[in-house]
Amino acid sequence: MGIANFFRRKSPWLLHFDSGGCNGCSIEVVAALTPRFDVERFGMLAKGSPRHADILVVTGPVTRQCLPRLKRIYEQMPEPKIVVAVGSCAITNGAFDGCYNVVGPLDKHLPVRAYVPGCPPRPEAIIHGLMAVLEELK
Amino acid sequence: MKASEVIQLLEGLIEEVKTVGNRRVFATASKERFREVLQRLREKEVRHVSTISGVDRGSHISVVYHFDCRPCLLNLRVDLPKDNPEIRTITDLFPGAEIYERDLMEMLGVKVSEHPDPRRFFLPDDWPEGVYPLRKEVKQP
Amino acid sequence: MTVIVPVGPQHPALKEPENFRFEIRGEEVVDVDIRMGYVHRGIERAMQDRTYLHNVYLSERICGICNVVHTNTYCQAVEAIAGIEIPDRARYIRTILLELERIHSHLLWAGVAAHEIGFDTLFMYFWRDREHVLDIREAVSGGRQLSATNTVGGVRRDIKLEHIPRMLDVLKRLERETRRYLEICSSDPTILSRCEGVGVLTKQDALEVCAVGPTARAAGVDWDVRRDDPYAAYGDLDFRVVIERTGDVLAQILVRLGEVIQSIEIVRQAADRLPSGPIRVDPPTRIEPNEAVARSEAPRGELLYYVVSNGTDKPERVRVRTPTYGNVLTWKRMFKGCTVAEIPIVLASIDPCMACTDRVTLVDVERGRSRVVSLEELRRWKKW
Repeated sequence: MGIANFFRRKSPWLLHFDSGGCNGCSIEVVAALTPRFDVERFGMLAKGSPRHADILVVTGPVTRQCLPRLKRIYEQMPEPKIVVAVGSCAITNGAFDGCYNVVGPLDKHLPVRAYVPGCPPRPEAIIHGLMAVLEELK
Repeated sequence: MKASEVIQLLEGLIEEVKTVGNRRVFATASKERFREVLQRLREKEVRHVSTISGVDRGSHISVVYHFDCRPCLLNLRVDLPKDNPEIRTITDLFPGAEIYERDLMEMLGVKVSEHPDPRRFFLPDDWPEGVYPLRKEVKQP
Repeated sequence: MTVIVPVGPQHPALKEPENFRFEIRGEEVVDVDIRMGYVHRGIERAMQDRTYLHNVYLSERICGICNVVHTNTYCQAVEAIAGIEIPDRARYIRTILLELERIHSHLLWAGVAAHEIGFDTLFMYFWRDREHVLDIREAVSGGRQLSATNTVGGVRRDIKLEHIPRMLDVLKRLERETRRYLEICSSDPTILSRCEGVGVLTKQDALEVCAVGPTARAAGVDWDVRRDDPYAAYGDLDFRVVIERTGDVLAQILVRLGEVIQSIEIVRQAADRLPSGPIRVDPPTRIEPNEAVARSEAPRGELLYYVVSNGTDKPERVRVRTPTYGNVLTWKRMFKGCTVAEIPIVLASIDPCMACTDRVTLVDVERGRSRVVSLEELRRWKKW
């Protein structure tokens, strides 16, 4: 384990991107930041800029209009970077499979390291998914 | 206005009038008469367009204007031929309809003439020209 | 000199993320151009290819926050074309779920608004209390967010007797807290200086651009679908429609918090009068050609479904007009004369299905240079 990874494990910064979801998962990601679940106790911090982020949390099926933006955000993130797919839509397109403007699922376009299933997953599940990725950094 | 008052107001301009419950009126108007209906509604201080729906009926395209006459909801249908669906904008009388008309143009290919801002609103930038996703002939991928 | 400021489209947590191009002169917003479609999935088309029952689950996923009102309006429309009367108990259960949803949605919004004015402590308080509402929702329907309770012909799950005392208990605590928040929001100098007189929508403008919901009521438009076009059990219940006159962001906060208190009152009455009996009738699979319009008062405003049937088990057309869609044009009026620092709170003020944790690019038109700042940085900008 390199020294950068050693410190990153203690304070990974998150970037959340909604690529076309219904808001259910997005709200649960935000709920994970609030007092009852408090993801910050693991040193995680939600950031607004991809250049600051270590983990990209993606919710929703990927829409045609979002795809180029999603790729650009991924490219702007510094190495090493990790993608976590949250919710059924990001994993399999969910209820939106077959819609004309949906080009997902996410792992067709980006390398995904962790999948958090559920529609929407509970905040505990999202935290569990994020912790599982951190284990991999060891 | 109540349902009966709406029907009375538009007497002679609308056909196939159907009232459902106390607060829903369904009716049709011809393209020529439509402008007059709008003016009468506007005179009676009807200002809320709830939305505009376009329906591809196979042989023709129906455009349904949902006017909120508070508390009655007037659903006014105008049928347009499929080979040349064109209708004049209502934004000069009802400015709130601007986005609904942009939606109608890109989703069903209805030409709304004199629209102040006929750009795309929902479809992606690289969506092909002339493909209207809510038309029946367009197949889902 | 005017400067173009594009905001978006990276809008995490949005249902309808938009791209805004603000035209700025100095610190003042002169004009705004809005581009939507980043989350356009093509649901209206997908609904034509699925059966009536299947569509209940699709309509639930149009919006994860206000899902009950979506399924409720969809079911109302289908029940109207099929000519089904739903049982009384189902009407009351729907009402309870709808109002619980309004409470959690308004608290969620209030938290986001607090965050946008840089008052993160209040954001955490609001979201802490929102969790209690989600707990009752989970107990009653089985889901924190998506309840999957409404279906064509009634509801799928009954409210158990033992849940009601617990629900009333939580609501009592919530009412006390909400009254405290109302007092804080109408007296705290931080909130007043960021919200009073900001992003004003006049009554004239609200009527002109067809604004709906709390946004219109904050500007003085006396219109609420629950009272004026009653559905579910609202016709039998007593409640007050909360109205403010000023149309600024503060008025929007007061309207929404006032509605939380009214919603608590509605849930109490509905739980008290909950009739016994069946909760569901069987709907037909195929529906004869017909059409129907249903509308509801979603937390964000009037929600309208227009459903056309054609004799098969699939609808000919389902048209959905969501409240944010109806309120988009209000932004154009609200932003005129705002300053750059006020952009986040005015954006959030109509409670769009979004939270713009966003990147902003500032483009200096005359020098042709651009730099990227985050909305977080923008939030810290001062008016002066």
